[in-house]
Parts: sequence; structure tokens; C-alpha cells
Amino acid sequence: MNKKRNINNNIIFVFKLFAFLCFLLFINIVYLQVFDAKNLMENPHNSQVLEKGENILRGNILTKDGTIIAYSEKQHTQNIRIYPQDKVYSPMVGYFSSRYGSDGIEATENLYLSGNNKNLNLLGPLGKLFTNDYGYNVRLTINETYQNAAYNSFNQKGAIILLDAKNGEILAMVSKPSYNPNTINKEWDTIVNSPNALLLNRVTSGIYPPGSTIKPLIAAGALNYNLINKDTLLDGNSNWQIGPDYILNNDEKANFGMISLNKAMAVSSNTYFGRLALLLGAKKLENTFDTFGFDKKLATDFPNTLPKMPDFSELSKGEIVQMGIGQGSLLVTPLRMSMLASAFVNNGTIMKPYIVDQIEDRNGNIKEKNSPEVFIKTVSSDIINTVADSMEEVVTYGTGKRAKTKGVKIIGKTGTAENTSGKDHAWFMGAFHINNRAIAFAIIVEEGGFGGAVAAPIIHNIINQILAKEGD
Amino acid sequence: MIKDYFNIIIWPSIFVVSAFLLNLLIKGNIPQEDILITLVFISSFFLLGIIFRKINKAIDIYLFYLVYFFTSISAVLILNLKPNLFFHQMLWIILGLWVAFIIFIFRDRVLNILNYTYILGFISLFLLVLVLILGTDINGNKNWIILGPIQFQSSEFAKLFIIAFLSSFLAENKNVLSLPNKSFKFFYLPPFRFLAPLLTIWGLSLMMFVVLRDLGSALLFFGIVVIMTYVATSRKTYVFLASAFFLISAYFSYLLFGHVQTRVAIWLNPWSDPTGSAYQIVQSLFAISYGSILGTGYLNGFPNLIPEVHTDFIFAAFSEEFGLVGSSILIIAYLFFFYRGITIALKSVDLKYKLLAFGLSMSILLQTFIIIGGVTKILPLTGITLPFISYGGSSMLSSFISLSLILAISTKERDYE
Repeated sequence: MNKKRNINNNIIFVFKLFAFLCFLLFINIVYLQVFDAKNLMENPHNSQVLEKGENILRGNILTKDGTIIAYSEKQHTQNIRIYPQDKVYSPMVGYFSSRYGSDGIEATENLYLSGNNKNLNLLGPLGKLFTNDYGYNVRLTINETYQNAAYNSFNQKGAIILLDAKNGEILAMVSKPSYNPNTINKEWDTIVNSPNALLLNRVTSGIYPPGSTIKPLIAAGALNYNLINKDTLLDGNSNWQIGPDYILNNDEKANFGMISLNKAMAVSSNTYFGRLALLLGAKKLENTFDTFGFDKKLATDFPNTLPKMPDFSELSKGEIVQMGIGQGSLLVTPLRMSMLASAFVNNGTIMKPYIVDQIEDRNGNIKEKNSPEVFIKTVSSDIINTVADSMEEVVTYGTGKRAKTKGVKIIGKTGTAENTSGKDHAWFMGAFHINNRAIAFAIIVEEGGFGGAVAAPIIHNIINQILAKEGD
Repeated sequence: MIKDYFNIIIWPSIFVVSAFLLNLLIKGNIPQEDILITLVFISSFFLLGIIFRKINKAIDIYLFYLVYFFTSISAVLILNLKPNLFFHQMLWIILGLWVAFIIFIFRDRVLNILNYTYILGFISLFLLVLVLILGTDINGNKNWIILGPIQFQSSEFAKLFIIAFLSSFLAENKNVLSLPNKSFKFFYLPPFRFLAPLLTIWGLSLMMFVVLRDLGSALLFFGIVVIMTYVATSRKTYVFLASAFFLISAYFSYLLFGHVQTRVAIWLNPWSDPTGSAYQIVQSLFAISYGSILGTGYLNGFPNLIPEVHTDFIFAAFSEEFGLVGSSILIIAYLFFFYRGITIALKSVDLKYKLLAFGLSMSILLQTFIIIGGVTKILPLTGITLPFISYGGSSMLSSFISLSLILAISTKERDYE
């Protein structure tokens, strides 16, 4: 009798054990179907989503004014993706291939484009009543005129970004050289193996030393800490001995004498800004970069690379000077430089750049609309104005004078960045005012040489094309 | 009584009929033979339920309802997943039901074999060794034995004999097996001739894995032996010994065998090779997560993207189409089946029957846990079936035989204490 009771107890124990195991099964399934579902659905290998997409005509990608960049069409039994603009919008818009997955906007907005609506999925079979046969359309903030102007303005390797400083809308994003997304399947091997990194979006993920284009930030920092004012004179001559092996020169070893901020910015005096960097010191330098958001992740509707900054506490005197002229271990993306520029025409506020304006259904009804957001507030308007004035002199008579365009107010800063590849990268960043808008920009021509000679004229070219199309 | 019966039994029937109509609507036509066999399926369950009750009122009718529930899910799923296999699956279900019926009629004689411990032992041994020697590789699983036109999964039947043997052996010898021994205080070992059969089964389970690469059967047999021995003897020693044995053999087989390393790799990180060796589990996870809470709806999922979806992965297909709600209900149903099984076991007077009822219902739930765990990545993937639902004659037959034996025991002398 005792034994029997014992065995019965054991049986009950085993039952409880199994009930617990079943509970574990249940929890795991809850995790799969509720918590991890979105992740699994966005996995590029998930053919469930693709299959669902097969029955639905994928949505269009459009510019703000409605020009079609990508659309799908049924040919015979298959849906084919067509890109009427060829290379102009790659790799920003990306590609969509059943074999090779997707990239760019095609990837980040895939759930909308393929018509999947995760909320409807939760409804299960009821959701089928509300599902369309068409995917949603994605309308970008990109302006066709600006994009074409930027694309046609240069032929070398590099990147251009134009954005509206007041609201963060990206008006043009060009990365060259790029690929033709129409023939992605046929040319995949060539594209992937090209030494020119055709798939790289140089605007968001190309990482380069900023060179002299960082000088406005250095100036803003020094003004912010009251180390100088706009009339303070510092030694702008060449031949500045910093360490036993380190002599800093201006370009072409020019001597400028004792100069103030405006002159220093216009001629891009390395020694002036090197001295500013030393005045700031490592900690204040680090704080200045933080103030302008260089260590803050940009969470927006496209992936982007965070700037690479050194460990400021470990910087030697010479390295601090290098920071002041944008060399050393500092690496930035063109996107971040355009964001820096935007601060100087928006009272110190940097808006969050974004590229998706709204999601619409086939009939134009808005499903979701993105609105401008502030990314970071930097320094006071007074400091902004002081630095902006000096940047205007860059274009009026300084290193950036080849950007000068009649009737258009432009501020900027050139950069000629030494880098490991040998030939210097040519930079030009800044902003121009046109049609009541303030457009911030950054241009880089890889291994292009002097910023003033190579990059600055490009913006002149772009503005002229825009004026021709849009008038004033 | 009969009215209550009808009220419950009607629901799976409605389920099956509506599934049929949906299929007809969307897919066009259904072969006549499929319609006929489904009618036979529905009427067999209706009829036999009543007859079972008439034969012996004490029978646990809930088990019968549950099996009808499971098999109707099987019918509904297979109709969509593999329409050309539908007829066969229904045939096996109906055959299984009638075999269960016949066994039930002769239950006294059938249950009598529990008295012949060693014959049961030898048959189990024979079946296991047979498959180790003669096992033929079908779909990566060498568990099959082919005799002329017939092919069957020997392990499904070996499982029944092992459980029967264990029930008989443990009932007979449990006193010896659970004697306290003065020599070792904590670590106790019974005389070898009593330990031998247990060791043999452990060893053969290991062989099943190493030679046949059938991890599922190995885990199942191992689990059955360990749990039944614990229940009969209350000795945790066996559990510790078995776990040690398991861990050591697992460790060595990992070191020695490539196929083990692959399985562990794709279990721990299927994303390392999602289009290659981990393709099955990855597709299973995608399908299940796609189902979300309410599922995609019947006929709305894409289960055919999953390989082996009608056998190993049938739960993934079910989960995709019926969601979290459906999956939970299914798991609860299997747990409820076990609950009814142990209720019968708890009330049994005769120890052999107690252990048999427990062992059979436990093995069904254990098998369910192993396969659902495998397709949801809690456990490594194995090739065993989901009882009463997966496609497969051997599995269906052995499950129905289990059902019949449990029902038989429910009519035996009860202890109402």
C-alpha cells in the first residue's frame, strides 16, 4: 500500500514536470510568434515574406514631386522591378532581387513595399479581408532637380549630399560610381567584385578624414569657451614648431601674419586653427565634438556610420593640433559634414536628416507621414553668426571662391584631406540660400586634390543647374 | 448519454467537413476517393465511440475524443499539404482505429502478455537489433525496415514492446531495484542482473543514435526508461546514473562524429548556414513566426516552403496557419491526454497496468515535446513524428495501439481510495 502511494506520488511528480515542460514550449512559441516575429520577418532569407510579395505588386519609390524611381510590372508570369532613372539614384534607392536580396530603400522599406502589414498579420485570417493586391508606395524627400544636378555635376569617385537645413529633408544623395539596378542579377559578380565599391553609399557610410572642413567646428568651440572672440589675433604664419619632429605649415607654406577668425577661415590657415585646438585642449575639444553630435548615433530611416573619434584623453600635443586641422585619427562621413554645415544656417540647431517623406497606398492616401525632428542643439546664435560670417568670406574671396555664384548667398569651407591612399581628398561643405530655403551640402571627390580647386566649383555647377530649372 | 456524446463528437467532424469545403472552393476539385474515405473516417469514429462505450461503461471516453480531435487535425492538414498522400493517411487512421477496437475486444488476452516479462524483453531486443542491422536509409533516417512491399518504422513498434517490458519487469522486480543498500549511503547499485536490462536499453538507444543517426528515437527511448524506472523505484540514483551516462556519451559522440557536430551547430546557431544545413529549422522558424497570434488562416500560409512538412515539421505548418492560439490549444490537448492517462494509472490496482498506462501516455507526450521542441529550436532537430498528426502508418498504428491499451486498462479493477 505504501509502495503504491509512493508510485502514485512519483506519477504525479512526473506529470507536474511535463506540465512545466509544456509551459516552456508555450513560452518559446510566444517568443517566436509575438516578440521575435518582426525580426524574423525582416530576415533577408525569409521567403514567407517574399512569397507573400509574389502575389502582391510591389510598391513604387518616388521622389517628392512624384517622379518614379522604381516600380514593378507584371511581365509574362513574373513581377519585374524597373528603375527608369538607371544609376542616378543608386545605391541610395538600392535594388531588389529575389536571388540577391535587397539593399538601400528597397531593403529598409521592404515591409511597406511588399504590402506586408504587421498589424494585419496579427489579425490572422481576418487580416486577409483588408489586404490589398498592391504594396505601398514610398515617397522620398528627394528633389529630382537637385538629384540630377548633383549627379551631373561631377564625373569622378565621390559623394554629394544636399539637405534642407530647416527641416532635415534630404534633397539629393549621390554616390559615384554606382551600379545599374535594372541589371543587378546579370551583373552581380562584376558589381560585387569591382574595386570601386559600387554598392557602397559613400554619403552615409563612406568614411574619410575631414581635413580643413572641420575648422568651423573648432572655431565654434573656441568661441563657445570664450577663448577667443571674432577680433582676437593669433599667429597665422607657417613654420610653427610644435614638437621636436613636428613643424606645421599653411598651404604652400604661406605666411599671413597675425590674423583674426574671418581671415583665418578664408585662407584656411592651419597654424591659426592648430593654435585654437591647443587653446581648447583635449577635454574641451571632445566636448565640442559632442556638442555638435559627432558621438551621437543618428537613428533615422536609413543606416549610417558613426564618425570615428580618437580617445581624447590619450592625445599628445601634436595630435591635438592635428584634430584642429581635421587630420589625425578623426574620420567622418559626408552626411555628418552636411549636418555640421546645417547648424550654421539654422541658428545652431541640427535637424535629423531623413529621406522617407511618406508612405502612401496606391490611390495616394497617406498611410504614414514623417515629420521633422531636432537632432541636437549646438551653440548660441551669436557664435553661429560669427562663424557663418567667416565661412562667407571663404566663398567671397577665400579658398572657396570658385563656388561663388551671382545672386546666391553661399557660405562654406574647403578641405584637402591627406589620407592613406596617397592623393588628397577634395572636400567642400557649407550652405546656400535659394528660393527661401537654406540648403546645407557636403561634397567629396575621392583623391581629387585641392578642395577649392576641385570640390568648390561643383557646388557652383549644381546651383546653376538648379537655377536654370527652378528660376530664382 | 448519447446526446452528450453527439454534442462533443460532432465538432471535429464539422472541422473536417469545413476544411473540405474550403479546399474545394479554393483548389477546385477533390478526388472522389478522398471524399469517400473521409466519410468512412467520420462514420468510423462516430460508430466506434458508441460501441466502445457500450462494451464497457468505465472506459475513459475523453481519450477517444482527443484522438478524434488529433486525427481530424491530421486530416485537415494533410489534405492541404500533400493531397496525394491524403488517402493513405486516412486509411492508416481508420485501420488504426479498427485495430484499436479489436485489441480492446480482446483486451484481457492482450494485457495478459504483461506476465511474460522476458518474452517481451527479447522481442524488444530483437526489434531494436533488427533495425540496427537491417535499417534502410529513407530520407536520411535509417529507421526503416523493408519486407517486400511493406516498409515500416521498426522503432515505433519497438517502443511499445519496450514500454510493455519495462512495465512488467519493473513491477516484478521493483522491490529488488529499490532496496536500500548499506554499503554506499547515497550511491546505490542493485545486483547486476537486475540492472542489465536497463543498461541494455540505454546502450541500444545510444546505438540508435550513433548508427542510425536517429536522435529522436534515442532521446525517446532513453527518456522512457529513465522516467519509468524512477516512477517504479523512487530512486533518484537511476536518474543520476542515466544523466551521467547520457552526458558522457553525448560529449564523446560530439567529439567523434561529424554529424553530431553539425546538428549541435545548427541547433545553437541556425543563422550560420540558413540556406544549407540549417535550412529546415530556419524555414520552420520563419513559418511559425509568420503565423503570429491568430495564424495566417487555413490555406493561407506557405507551409510548402518547409521541407518534410507532412512529417517532422507538421507542427510548424499547423502553427503558421493557426497561430499562437492554435498552438497553445494543441499543446494543452496533448497534456490533457497525458492527464487522462495518468488518472487511469493512478487508479489502477495492478502495478503492471499502472506502469503500462503511465508509460504509454507519457511516451506520447514525451514524443510530442521532443518534436515540438525541435522545430521551435528549444531542442536539436530530430526526425520523430507528432503522434496522431504526422503522416506515417507505423506511427499512427502504434499510437492507436497505445490508445487501445490505455482504454483497456481503464476498464480494469480500480482503486477508489
